[in-house]
Amino acid sequence: MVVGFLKSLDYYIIIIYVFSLLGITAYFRLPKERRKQRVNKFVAGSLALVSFYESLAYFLVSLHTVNAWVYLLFFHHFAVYLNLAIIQEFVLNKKRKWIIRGFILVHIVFSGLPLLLGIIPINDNGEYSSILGSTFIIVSCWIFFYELVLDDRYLAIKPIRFSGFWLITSLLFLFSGSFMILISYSYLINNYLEMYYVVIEVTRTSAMIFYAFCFITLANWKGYFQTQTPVSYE
Amino acid sequence: MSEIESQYLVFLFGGIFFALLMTLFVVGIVFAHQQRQLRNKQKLDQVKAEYEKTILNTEFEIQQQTLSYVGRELHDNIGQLLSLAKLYLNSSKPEKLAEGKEYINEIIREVRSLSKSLNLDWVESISLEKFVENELNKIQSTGFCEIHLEAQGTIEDLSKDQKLILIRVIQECLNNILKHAHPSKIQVKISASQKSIQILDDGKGFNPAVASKGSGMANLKKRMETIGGKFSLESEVGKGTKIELILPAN
Repeated sequence: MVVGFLKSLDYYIIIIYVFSLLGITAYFRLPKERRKQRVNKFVAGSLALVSFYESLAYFLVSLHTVNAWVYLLFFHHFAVYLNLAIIQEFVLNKKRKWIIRGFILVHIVFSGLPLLLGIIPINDNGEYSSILGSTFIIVSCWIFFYELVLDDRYLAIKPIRFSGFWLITSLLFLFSGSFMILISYSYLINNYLEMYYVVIEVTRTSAMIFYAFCFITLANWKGYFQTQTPVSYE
Repeated sequence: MSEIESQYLVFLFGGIFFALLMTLFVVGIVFAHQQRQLRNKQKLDQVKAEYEKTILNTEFEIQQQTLSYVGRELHDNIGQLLSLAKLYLNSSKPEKLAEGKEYINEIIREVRSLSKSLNLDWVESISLEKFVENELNKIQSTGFCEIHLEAQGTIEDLSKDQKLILIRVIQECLNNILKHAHPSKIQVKISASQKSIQILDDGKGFNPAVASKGSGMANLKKRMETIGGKFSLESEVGKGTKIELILPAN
């Protein structure tokens, strides 16, 4: 069983393990006050979650068992909530923060609960949940970019040295890619399976970029990156 | 080339396009942000230059006013005291000589007090309440009208520049009242908790909607805004004028 699992590991999950291990270690090495910051907790949580569900998914593959439910539950639900939580931490306007929190609530009501109640089958390919989640994440990313460019409080920040900018940019591209793939999922699976795997690689690369930025945010060598938003409302 | 190979190629180019799109997006956002930073910096420089200009103008006006005050004091007060001192000191009577010496001491005190008013350090040492009180006392001493000061608390957290401008604005408001309103009573209310100064008169008032020939009011408003404060005016013909100065929140 263990040997089968180890054999199933590929470059993607190894890279995810490396970033998660380094990122979580970096999180615990952060000064106490920075460890208490919610954004750092969410980013570390995101790394822990991805390594957990990817391990579970790979483990199920090694047992030749269906693993679609793992991605449906963890990637299309828990990861979406964590990512939305990360984005809302970088949004300054209180109303817009609540809009993003509202997205989480709407996703729970219209996707999380139906999944829990069995209305959405547990081995569903997750098109519905993912489209809902990706749309909310893409809209939330645009809310952040709108503020970054137009809000005066972001004037003093250099986007290149602002970890929020990189985290949210990589999230935007990860979920834009995943959105496009899920729209064409049924068509690709039924007609061009090889092509589907190629497309999956694009999403995996985007995901690796995102988790790399998660690690960089937590490591923040010599304070190069600014992790705090200029004004915190709460 | 097989169908799958051509599809791989399509996705390779798709991937490159995706990466390019991401790069363009990042560059675009950074560029838009930098442009905004640049515009903001130019705006800040402009505001700073305007602020410095206002401070310089205010300092100049206060210095001019101080010089004319010193001139008046030298002529009307110290000149008179010197003449008296000369008269007494020329006398042979010892009691007159002692009085002459007393005059000399008074002249020294007056000159010291005048020399203090020649530089603007007094702005820092005087409280806003004391300044208003002095100005109102000056008005009352002319017998022009009745005055009333109501001060609640002490306004403390103002920088020298902010105080300088406020002093000038208050002076200008009082001058305007004396010049144009012909009131029987001037009332000044200072509230430290609300950070406001109200200047009220029961003079002839005017219609604020009618544009005035001068730029006095606009200047006062601009000056208050320069230090982060606010200027508001309410007036009605025959019912006097109420000016409110909201002080900057430091």
